[in-house]
Amino acid sequence: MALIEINNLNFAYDEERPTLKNISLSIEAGKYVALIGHNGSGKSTLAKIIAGLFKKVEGDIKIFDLPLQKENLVKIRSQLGIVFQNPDNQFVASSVKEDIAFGLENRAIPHDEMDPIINEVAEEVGMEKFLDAAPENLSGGQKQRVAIAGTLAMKPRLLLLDEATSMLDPRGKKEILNLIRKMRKDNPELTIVSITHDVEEAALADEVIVLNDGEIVLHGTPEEVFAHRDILAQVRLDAPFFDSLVVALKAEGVAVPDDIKDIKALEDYLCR
Amino acid sequence: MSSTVLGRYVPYQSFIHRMDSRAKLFAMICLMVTVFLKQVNWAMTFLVGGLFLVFIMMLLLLSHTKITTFLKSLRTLWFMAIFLLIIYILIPRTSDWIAFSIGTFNVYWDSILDAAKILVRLMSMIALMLVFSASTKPLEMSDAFEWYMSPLKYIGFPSHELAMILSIALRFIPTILEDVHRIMNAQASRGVDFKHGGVKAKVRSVISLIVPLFVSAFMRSEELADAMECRGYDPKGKRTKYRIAHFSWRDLVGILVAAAWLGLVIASSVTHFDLFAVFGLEVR
Repeated sequence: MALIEINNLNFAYDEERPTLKNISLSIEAGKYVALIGHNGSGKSTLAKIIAGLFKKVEGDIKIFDLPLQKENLVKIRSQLGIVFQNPDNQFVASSVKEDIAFGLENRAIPHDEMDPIINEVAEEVGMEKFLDAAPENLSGGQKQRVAIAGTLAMKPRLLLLDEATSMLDPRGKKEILNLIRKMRKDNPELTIVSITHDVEEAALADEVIVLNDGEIVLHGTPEEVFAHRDILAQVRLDAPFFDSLVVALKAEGVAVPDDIKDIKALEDYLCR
Repeated sequence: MSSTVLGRYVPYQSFIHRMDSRAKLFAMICLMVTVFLKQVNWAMTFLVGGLFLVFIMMLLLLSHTKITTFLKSLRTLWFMAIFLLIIYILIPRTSDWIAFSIGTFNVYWDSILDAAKILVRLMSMIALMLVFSASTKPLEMSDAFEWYMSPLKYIGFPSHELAMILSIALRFIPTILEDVHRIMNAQASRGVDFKHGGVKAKVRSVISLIVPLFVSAFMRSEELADAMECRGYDPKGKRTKYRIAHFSWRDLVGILVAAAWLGLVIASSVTHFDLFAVFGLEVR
């Protein structure tokens, strides 16, 4: 079943220059999809449209089989979590546990049920030791993990990461990527759509969608997408380091078998 | 912002810290009222005022506020004291209690004592505020505010929204302060001088700080609004609360002590009670 079904979506902030042109895509439940593109490619706009933050959207959008309309918004949002780019601007409360509780409060979860949920999701994201910490004492990566915990507390079917790692330092980025891997393992039903311009992150996904100037230019598995080096170069994206390395090795005449999928395996193969 | 008059929260687990903010606010207001009640004569006024000051000092110690914090916040009072004294001396009076005379101009004890009375009141108020702010987290204050305002909901007063605005404002103070530092550094590195120069230069340099600060604050607020909306926030909808304050024996004790003191002071004020007369002392 397709969790997100978008047909002929058009959107423009400014009539003269459309931000998204004729986008059609469908995302299956339980997939981890990376939406990549350069700045201004419209990828963040697409995330905001899926979250229902824009009113004037042309096209046919169905999320969880519900048309994206005002009367369905509450229902859609209750099953959708979104994590934005800036860790500070989504931290509502003054402590970690209260911030996680914010979404629960909004859904009128009884008070006695909140603490078990908060402890569970805090443990899932590895923030159980910081429940009373104030946001100003947390690193960016920790704040993003709290934001993810806040969405997980609502038991979402869809998690949207809108450049959630782009303002983080390398360590924070790594923390989030590890967390995504862990969430995929713990909860295989959760669909994750990650908007990013980090190709290394995209390489972890099941599917990669490349946006450029508001249009989808590539859509497929990471291997398929990153094989199109010419198109990637046109839209000013690099292939991930691993894929570039394999291509370079092949050009040098080293036969790299197709079943080698990560840098460790490649290292073992080459050293043998 | 480190305002010395309002004070700041001192993390500690004292009796006062553990009181419910609503009960604490109620007790504080009771105590504040006693500061302004009129007593029958000067001796009683200063006896009650002095006792109260001692009591507040004990509260200050109990809430682990440093006495130096209190003294620092009194510093600004000196100017006020001299100003009050001059005003009160200049007010014409019909009294026979003359302190001294400068030529034909009489300076009355009443004027001096009036000024002293106001000073004692101010000191008591400041000390009370310090106790309250040192022992109550800003967020608890906004909770207390929301609770007291909640009956007004029925006449359409947005008490929940205001409390939410207040708590978000409190939450963003450190974030915005960080912005201030960053922008100041950025502007200083571009040659803006925040420390030197005349009024005109100072105003110019402040503008170079304020404008980017506002831009960033508005951007933050827009993103925060999006994030809150996506997390299902609806101020008009049905919500539960995670932070629940519990009424405990401490709150009862606190309210009773404050109410007892209020009762005593009101009684002595209404009945023109004079403790000194009981002992046969003649006082003014």
